[in-house]
Amino acid sequence: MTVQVQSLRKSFRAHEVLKGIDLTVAPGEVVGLIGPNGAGKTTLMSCLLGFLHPDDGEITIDGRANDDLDVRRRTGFVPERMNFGRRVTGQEFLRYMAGLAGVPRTEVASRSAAMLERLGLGGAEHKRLSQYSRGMLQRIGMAQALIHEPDYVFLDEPTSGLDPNGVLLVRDLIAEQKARGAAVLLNSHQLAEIEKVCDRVVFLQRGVIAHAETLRHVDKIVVAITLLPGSFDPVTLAKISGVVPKENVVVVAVDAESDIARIVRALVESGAGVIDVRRHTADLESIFRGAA
Amino acid sequence: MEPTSSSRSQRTIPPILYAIVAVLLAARVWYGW
Amino acid sequence: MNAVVIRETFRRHVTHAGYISVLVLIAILGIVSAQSIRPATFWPGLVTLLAVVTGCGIIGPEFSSGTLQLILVKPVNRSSYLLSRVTGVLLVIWLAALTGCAAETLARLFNKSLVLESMGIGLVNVMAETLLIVSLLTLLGSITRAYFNVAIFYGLQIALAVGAAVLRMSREVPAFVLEALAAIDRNLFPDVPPLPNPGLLLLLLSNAAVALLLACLAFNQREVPYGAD
Repeated sequence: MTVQVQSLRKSFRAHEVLKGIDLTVAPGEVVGLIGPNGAGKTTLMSCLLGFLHPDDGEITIDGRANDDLDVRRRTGFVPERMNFGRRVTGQEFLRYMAGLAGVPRTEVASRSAAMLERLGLGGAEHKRLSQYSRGMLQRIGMAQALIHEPDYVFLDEPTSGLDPNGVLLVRDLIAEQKARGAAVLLNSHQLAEIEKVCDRVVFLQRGVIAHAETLRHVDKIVVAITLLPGSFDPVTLAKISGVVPKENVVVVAVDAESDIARIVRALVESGAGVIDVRRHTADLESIFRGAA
Repeated sequence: MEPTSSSRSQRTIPPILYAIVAVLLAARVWYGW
Repeated sequence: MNAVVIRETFRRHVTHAGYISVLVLIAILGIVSAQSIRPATFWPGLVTLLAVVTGCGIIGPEFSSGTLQLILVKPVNRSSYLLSRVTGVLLVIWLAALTGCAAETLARLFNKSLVLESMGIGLVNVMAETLLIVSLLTLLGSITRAYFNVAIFYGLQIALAVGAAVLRMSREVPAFVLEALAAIDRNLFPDVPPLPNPGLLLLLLSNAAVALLLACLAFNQREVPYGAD
């Protein structure tokens, strides 16, 4: 049940936007797509969703074409900007989307109401979409994408324009989808959010994947231990942690939290000054800066 | 209209539309209009 | 065909205040038509206009607005979606035609000038004519964006009429060119008097079917660009 992209190429008006992309998103995995403007993120997303035909390469979802009806039944897409009729109310819109997504007719009303409530739109269902604020439109965009409990979720800038409550809500929803075993791909400029939410990050630049980084290993905990410079001997350290320190930081991958405590105790006993212990996150900013 | 089992593309055209077009055009040719 | 799409399309049009106003107007025109000797004189014109107004929104504007991206991610067959939209709109238009016909029929019952057969024929002709209009607009909409479909529709109609008139004045234009133009005009924008004419009906139906098939083919191939990076 994987989303798979192989050697994807796409040109627009004689300009090659995607120059051979390989990407996989496994079930239960949250992959973030980052990159500067013009890198091809939207084009990649469009190709994945079947809005654009690739010039070359293959996109398969669960081994099938991305425009297979069965795959569509299990796909959810959250657009960056929600553009739908002006006069439709929130409730009408969501019920329509639910019906199109294959939610059984008897469940449409109840599921729509529950979804609207969950996304904090409880009182706004009879308001027209033209009266919705940017944040509300984003929320209803998420509602229509998730109402049928999809296995493949694509989000385009899901937190842009959202207030902190909205950002937290999106984070929770993505975590929920991950827990359900959905394959999630999201496109975002908000590096801080990506770091919090994604398991893996793919950095797209000028049509190719310039860098890929695993933020969260599936079965391991990655910890960064900062040591007081000059208080340790790299060789001893390597013996204790199994890892050669980079400058004064030791990054270890362990199976359990008790292993963290054990390593820290061993480091302290060896005379090293431990000044910081935290879960390791990739420095996405420096990836951006390094690539510029 | 869409079966849930085997692979079915979003881009198939219902064969009945082809049939309707064929019948109508044939009728026009037949009656000379 | 997708029942959800048909229902939603129908519901959205029928609950529109503008549509209800037009329906009332058509009913009034129907009553007025009962005064003339020939049946179905006034109200079909307004129904035709309604057909253009509703038909141009079936597809075309949706490419530009971002609506289609939301729809196409759903498990909806593209042709099924298109044809369901057409069906929904046709039901809306034919409801208006029925209203006009019913109003005129009732008024004629009052006047004792009722000719049921010609009323029926008038209704059928209007239904077939609006089917062709909607089909052409759908075809144009499937290959263009925004409301270019209605611009091309009217533009073509005018161009054919004006072009034929201008060319007829020149003696150097070969006859087959004039005949070709006339044939195109007759096929795309036929005159539909409220008289029985099975040939005309067949022309309307077959052209509409061809237009819809071409629309489905075009829509299948169409890319739906989304946003900007």
